[in-house]
Amino acid sequence: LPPPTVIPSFDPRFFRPCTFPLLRELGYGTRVTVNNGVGPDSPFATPMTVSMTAFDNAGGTVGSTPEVATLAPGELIKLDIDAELAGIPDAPGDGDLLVMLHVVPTKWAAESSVDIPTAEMMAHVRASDDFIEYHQRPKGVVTGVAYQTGPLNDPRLSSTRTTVCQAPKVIVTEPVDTLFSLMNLSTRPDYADTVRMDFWILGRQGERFVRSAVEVPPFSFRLVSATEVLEQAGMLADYRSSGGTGMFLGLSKNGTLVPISLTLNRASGAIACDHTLPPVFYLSTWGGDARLRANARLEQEFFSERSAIAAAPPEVHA
Amino acid sequence: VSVVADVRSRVANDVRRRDARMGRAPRMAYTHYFIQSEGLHSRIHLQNFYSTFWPQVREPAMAHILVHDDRGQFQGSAQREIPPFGSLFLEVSELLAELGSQATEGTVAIDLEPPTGVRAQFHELPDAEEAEIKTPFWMAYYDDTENYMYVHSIDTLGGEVFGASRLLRWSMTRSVAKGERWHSWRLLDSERLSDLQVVCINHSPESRSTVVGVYSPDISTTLYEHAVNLAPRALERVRVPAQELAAWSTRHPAIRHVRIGLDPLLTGNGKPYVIMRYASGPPSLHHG
Repeated sequence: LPPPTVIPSFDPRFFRPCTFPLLRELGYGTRVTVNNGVGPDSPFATPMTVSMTAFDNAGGTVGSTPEVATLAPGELIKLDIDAELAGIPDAPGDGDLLVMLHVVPTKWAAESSVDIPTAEMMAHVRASDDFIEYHQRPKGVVTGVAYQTGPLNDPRLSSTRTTVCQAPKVIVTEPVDTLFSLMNLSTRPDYADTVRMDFWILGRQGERFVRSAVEVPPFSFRLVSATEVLEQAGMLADYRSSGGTGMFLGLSKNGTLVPISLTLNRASGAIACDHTLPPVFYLSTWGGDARLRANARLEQEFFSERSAIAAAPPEVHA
Repeated sequence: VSVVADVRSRVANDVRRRDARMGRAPRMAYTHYFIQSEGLHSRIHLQNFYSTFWPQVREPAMAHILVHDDRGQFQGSAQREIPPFGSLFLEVSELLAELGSQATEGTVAIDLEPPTGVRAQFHELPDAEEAEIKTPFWMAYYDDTENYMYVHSIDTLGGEVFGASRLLRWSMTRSVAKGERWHSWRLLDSERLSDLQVVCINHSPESRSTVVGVYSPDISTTLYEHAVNLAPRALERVRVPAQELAAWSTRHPAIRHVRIGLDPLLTGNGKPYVIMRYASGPPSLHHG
C-alpha cells in the first residue's frame, strides 16, 4: 500500500535523521557532513535545526544535546561528533554508541508531535546524503561513507520490513578482517523490536562455510567479524586456503537493518567502509510480492531448518 | 495527436513488457575507475546476484567485462563465469595482462548476463515494461600492505544496452544525458589537505567537457578550477597543485572546509572519484 499523504502525531526529531555508529573501539573518531539538501528554490525549503541523541549498546537513550547547529536551505556543515558528545554529560568516554542527528524544520523545533506531510519528509530525505567520516586516532587514516537513513521500521510508512544483504566483500586474509555493522533504526520513538539477521559466509564458488545469526536491539548496532565467525566455527583455515574471500548473505524477516561493511587491516588499523546495495540497484522495479516470494525462496534454500547449520555462535561482537 | 501518442506509448509498453517477461529485459553495465599506479592496486568484487532473487536456478551467470584506458581507447573484453551464489574477485592487473594492455588507469564496465534458467523467471519482474537490470559491483583499491578502500557503483556505461531487442536498444541509447552542475555533499578540511586529486570520467560515447572545481561550502568562493575536455570513455585525474593547497589557508583564512564540484556532471550520475590525503596520512579514495 502507498504511504499516507500525512502522517499524524509524528515526532519531528525523526523527520530527517542521520544515524551512524561510533567506531571508538576501533580507535576512530567521527566527523559528519550533514546538510539541508532542499535548496531555497524548493516549495519545501525551510531552515533546519540540528540536535543529537546518543544510544548505548542496548538501545537505551544516553542523552540528547540541545541545538548544535542550524542550517539554511541548501547549507551543509561538518560536525565533530566526539566534541559534540560533550553536550551529553552521561555519554561515556569509550564503548559503543549509536548517534542520531535530528535535522528538524525550525517551525517544529519546539514540538513533540506534529502532522507531517509525507511528500515534504521524503523531499528532505531524498535530498540528504550525509557523509560519515571516520578518522583514525592518531595515525590519520581517513575513511567514510555517504548514505541516507530515511523512514525505516515504521509501519506507518512501509507494510513490509525485511532485509536481504548480499555483499561480496568478505576478506579474511591475514592481517585483514571484514566487519559488518548492522544498525537497527526506526522513525518511531517508541520502536522496540529487536531484529534478527540470519547469515551465511559463502566462499567464492558459492560454497557454504558458516551459518550464524545476530540480534540487534532497537536503536543500536552490532559489529559482526567474519574472521571471528569463521574461527569459532573452526573454518578459518579452510576459508583462507580457498582464497580468503567471499560473500556475506544475510536475511532478516522481522525488520530492516542498515548494513555497512568495514574492511579492517588489523596491523595498520586502516578501515575501508562502504554500504551494500538494496535489490532495486540490481532489478530496478523489484519489490512487493515478487520480493516477498524471493525472500521465501531464499529462506527455504539457506535459512530453513533443513538447511545445514554449522556450529557457530549465535552472536559475535568484534 | 495525443490519442496517437497514447496508442504508440501503450503499444511500446506492451512490447517492452512482453520482451522483458520473455527474458529480454534491458541490461546496463555499471562502470568503475581503476588505477594501477600511485602505489595503488584495483580489484573487482562482483557476486552472482541473480542467485539471491532466484536461488532455485543452478546455472552460472557470465560476466562480460569491458576495459578502456584513460584516453578512452578500448582495450578489449574478457569473460568470467560466476557460479550460483559465487563471487568474482578479479585483480585488474590480471585482467590487463590477459588483454595485453599497458594501461595503468582507465575504466572497467561489467554486464552480468543471466543464464537461461534465470531469464525464464523474468515473468516475475514487477512493472516489466519499466524493468532494467544493472550490474553493480565494487572496486577495492588497496596498497602493498593491504590497506583497503572501496567504491560502489554509481554510473553506467553510457550508450550501451545489453540483452534487449535491437529496437529497444536503439531507443535507449540514442542519447546519453548530461548531468547538472554538481557539488559534493562532503566537506574536506582545507588546512589539513596535503593531496587532492579529482578523477573525471566521461561515461558517454561522445566527447564532452566540464570544469572541475574546489569551492567554499556555500560556493561563493572559488579556490581552484580546471577545465577538462574528454574523448569518449576517457578520464582525467586532475591533481590540485601542492602550492595551491598550501596557499589556501593564507589566501582564504576563513574557509576551513572545502567541497569539490563539477560543472556539469558529464553523465547523469557521473560523479568523480576523489583521491585525497590529510597531512602525512595514507591516501583515501572515494567517490565524490
